[in-house]
Amino acid sequence: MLVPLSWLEEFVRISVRPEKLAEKLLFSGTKVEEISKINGETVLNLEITPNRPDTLSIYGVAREVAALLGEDLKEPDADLIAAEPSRKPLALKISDKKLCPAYSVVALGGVFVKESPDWMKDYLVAAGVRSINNVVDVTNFVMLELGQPMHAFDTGKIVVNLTLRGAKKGEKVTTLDSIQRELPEGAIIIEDSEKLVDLAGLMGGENSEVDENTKEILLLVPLYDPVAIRKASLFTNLRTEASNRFEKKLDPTMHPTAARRAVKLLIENANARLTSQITSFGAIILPKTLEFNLSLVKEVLGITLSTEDLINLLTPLGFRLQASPLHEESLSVSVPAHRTDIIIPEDILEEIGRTFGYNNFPKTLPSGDIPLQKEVFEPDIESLLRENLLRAGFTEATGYTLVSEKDLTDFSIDPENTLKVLHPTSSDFEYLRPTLLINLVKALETNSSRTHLNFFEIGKEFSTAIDPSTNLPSQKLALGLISTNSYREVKGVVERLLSLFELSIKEKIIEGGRLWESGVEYTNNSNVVAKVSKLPKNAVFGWLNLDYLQAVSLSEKYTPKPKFPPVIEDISLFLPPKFRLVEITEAIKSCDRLVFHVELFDAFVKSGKQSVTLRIHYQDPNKTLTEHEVSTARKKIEKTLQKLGAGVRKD
Amino acid sequence: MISSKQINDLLRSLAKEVSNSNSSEELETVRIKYLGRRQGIITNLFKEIPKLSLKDKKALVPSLNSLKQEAESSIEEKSASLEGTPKVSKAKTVSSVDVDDPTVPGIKPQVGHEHPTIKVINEIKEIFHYLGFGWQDGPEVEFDLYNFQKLRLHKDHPARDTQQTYYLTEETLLRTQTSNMQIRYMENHKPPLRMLFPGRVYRREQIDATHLPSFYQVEGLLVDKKTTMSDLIGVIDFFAKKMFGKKTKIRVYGHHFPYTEPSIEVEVLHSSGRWLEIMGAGMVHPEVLKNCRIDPKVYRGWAFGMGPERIAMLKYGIGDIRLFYSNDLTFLEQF
Repeated sequence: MLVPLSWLEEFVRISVRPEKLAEKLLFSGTKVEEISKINGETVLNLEITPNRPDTLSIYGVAREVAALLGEDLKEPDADLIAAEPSRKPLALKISDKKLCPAYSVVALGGVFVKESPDWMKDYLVAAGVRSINNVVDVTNFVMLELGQPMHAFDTGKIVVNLTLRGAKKGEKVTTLDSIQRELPEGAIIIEDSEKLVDLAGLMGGENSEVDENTKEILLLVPLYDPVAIRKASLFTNLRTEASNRFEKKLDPTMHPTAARRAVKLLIENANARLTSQITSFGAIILPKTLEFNLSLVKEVLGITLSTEDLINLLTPLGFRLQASPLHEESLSVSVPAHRTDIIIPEDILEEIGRTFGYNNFPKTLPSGDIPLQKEVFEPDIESLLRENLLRAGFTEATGYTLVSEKDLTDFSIDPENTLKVLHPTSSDFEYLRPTLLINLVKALETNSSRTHLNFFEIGKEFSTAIDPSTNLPSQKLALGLISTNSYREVKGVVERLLSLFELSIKEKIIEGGRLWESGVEYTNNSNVVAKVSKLPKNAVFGWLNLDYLQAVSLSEKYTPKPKFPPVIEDISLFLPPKFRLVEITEAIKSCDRLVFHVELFDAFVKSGKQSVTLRIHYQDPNKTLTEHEVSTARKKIEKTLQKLGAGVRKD
Repeated sequence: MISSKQINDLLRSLAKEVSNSNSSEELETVRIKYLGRRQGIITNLFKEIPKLSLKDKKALVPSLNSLKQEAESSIEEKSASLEGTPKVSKAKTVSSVDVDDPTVPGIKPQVGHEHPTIKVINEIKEIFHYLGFGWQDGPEVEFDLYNFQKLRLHKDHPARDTQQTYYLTEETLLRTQTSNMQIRYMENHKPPLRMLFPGRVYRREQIDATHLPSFYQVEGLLVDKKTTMSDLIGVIDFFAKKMFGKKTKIRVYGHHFPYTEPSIEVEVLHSSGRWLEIMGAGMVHPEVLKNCRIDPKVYRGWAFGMGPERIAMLKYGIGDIRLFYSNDLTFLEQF
């Protein structure tokens, strides 16, 4: 909210420089975002939090400033010299008291609509509001000054009997800005016997607008149901200075004062005269009183204050403190009407904290026991995997979780089956990524001028399937990695990561799926734990199912060096067509219990046939191997290989 | 004179020769043959353009252009796919250059780089671990109930304006804060509690140097029989000194959040001499405790929330938040 300093000074003496004032306001919870000069006027731009509609006005800010600086607050000038006529103003029929629990209304005649005087125009402009004419300007001026919005109808355009009611679905009204707006059910509207004349709390109707021919006006100063105003504002996508105030809990006692203040200004600036009483309706508001236990100050804030300190802190803000008739250790705190946000004792603690000054608080550390919740005992596998990948030369990437339709179709993913947000701000951020691959490929593209690229990302992959344990769409944690290194190197990285876990891994080939779904897949008890796939342009993609791995124990076992020496032999063979290496090595391993380890030593293509050399480690944990044992095992292997059609190469 | 048949023939022979190249050297020969600056076949065709009639120009120049483009892109593509072999040998060549001069520049090792956001999150975890905090994350697609309603942000609450929200349906949304985890955690655990909730959050905002549609957040929560605002301020002060250096100054002022009462915001004095906001915090509102089946008459709590990207920006002097999601190595390799 924009606060011109001289306007503020009409209510409170300001003895400090604007910068100092801004600091004092900040520490008490009203942030000054900017101090600027508009036409020579110093203007504070305040961030007003939604709980403090009382400070959405010059007068309300002055009230805070007076308390902060220990100055007196001047009341708004609403004294009327002219006597009020006894005639009642035009009646307003309210169909539902909840929509408009209180209001003031008054009729004025003899109005001469013209430009506002310069002083008023200057204030309005400095406060960021456009000057329209002297009548409309007064309504805006008083709204800015006292925080109470109001509306002036041209009585000449109204056909008797005004009714305020909730809109029916689909009703339409044309507002002052000449836009026809469809209304949601329950929006507050005012109609005369023929037409809708006001979208109450948001914007007046074009058909009852004050213009240069207006002679008589009806000024309505209401309190509206904040929820109804907010719903209408969201539905019509219309936010006005008025709706911004009406959608919050306004001071319920301000409307009579605001009406008088406006009448006074209309008499002075628009030649108006009263043609009715200023009539106010609504239940009488009694001051709210809270029982406040003194021990809360120490228990919640951690500071020690005497009752006198509390009186000194709270009284300038308009609170009245008395010894409680109920408890000795309590105060009875009466809350000023404009502080509609004060409901529970903690709200009073906030008043104490912000005026005492949080920077004057002691800095202590929590004294309680350190909790031993079950999460403490779970391994942090994300950090474990991250460290291992960093060591392997992989750089951590983070991509946007929201992707575009093109991102999906580039990977042949059907957008129809992808989780989507309802109202994207841009087509770039519309779908929730179903795979980490999308961002990882982008990471390669971003750095395409370089070689040796290795990236990984840990994040969620989303799908439209509903997870029965949460009833939410499935959002599983995964680790994706991409590399321009060779397939075998990347596979080695994935296998190294898997070796950190207590798993019994089976490797199998997956074909025929989408690119990144073809390759090898590692399973543990038929749960897929990892995948490695070749991508075009010499990139390789690896994927780990962290959602699953989180529940797997870590492999933290030490295997002692064998006491007896191994025998190591190489065996060269031609792979039968369409045969996979994993099938050969698994077959060799199951030949004899002495086969301890099989590794690929060399591979090449010779006369159109795939030739491989395997290095076989024979080992007996209990004794030194004899030549006989090894040759027996070797023969078994050769026989098995022969059966498989993998001829041992003798050269 | 150029003819369209000639262009078509060239396209075919070029494709064949490019695909038959088995090394960068062979490919380079092909490139020179077609695109060489002096005698390249395609280059020479371009030299003939001025001699063409206007009609021929109109007919042939577009196809000449596309021929040139095709040549360039196919060679480039092939060169990328050939890189596998020469890439290694290139690296070897560089590292095997052995100059007999001790001032020869060192060769940088191939290492992985931490992401600054995650690095900062890990630092935050470590700082709070010292104070007995654990951590947990959960759903990013969340019910309105957990992201807003249980935190006293009912459907018509004006404070929802400050958290522009991506909805998926009327009741599910992308969480705007990791407070959903505070609720879920409190519902399932008995105090005392000390937890951090790091994770991704989403705001329906236009992207610019300080705003992103999705970013990280770290929230913290402590619930115990005895704890106070001065504990909260003491912990934040400890955090700021561990994160930014032991001489770091903080200042605290009142603020408003619907889920904490009283609420505060915290700024640190930046080396530039300006105070910069780093977090919002406050005492957990008694209604929020009650919503999570914790008795506010017995327990009190406090909570805070901060943006690790923002902390990283302050700490390292990074000016544009979009860099964190660029995955540009010139940025990442500095961490």
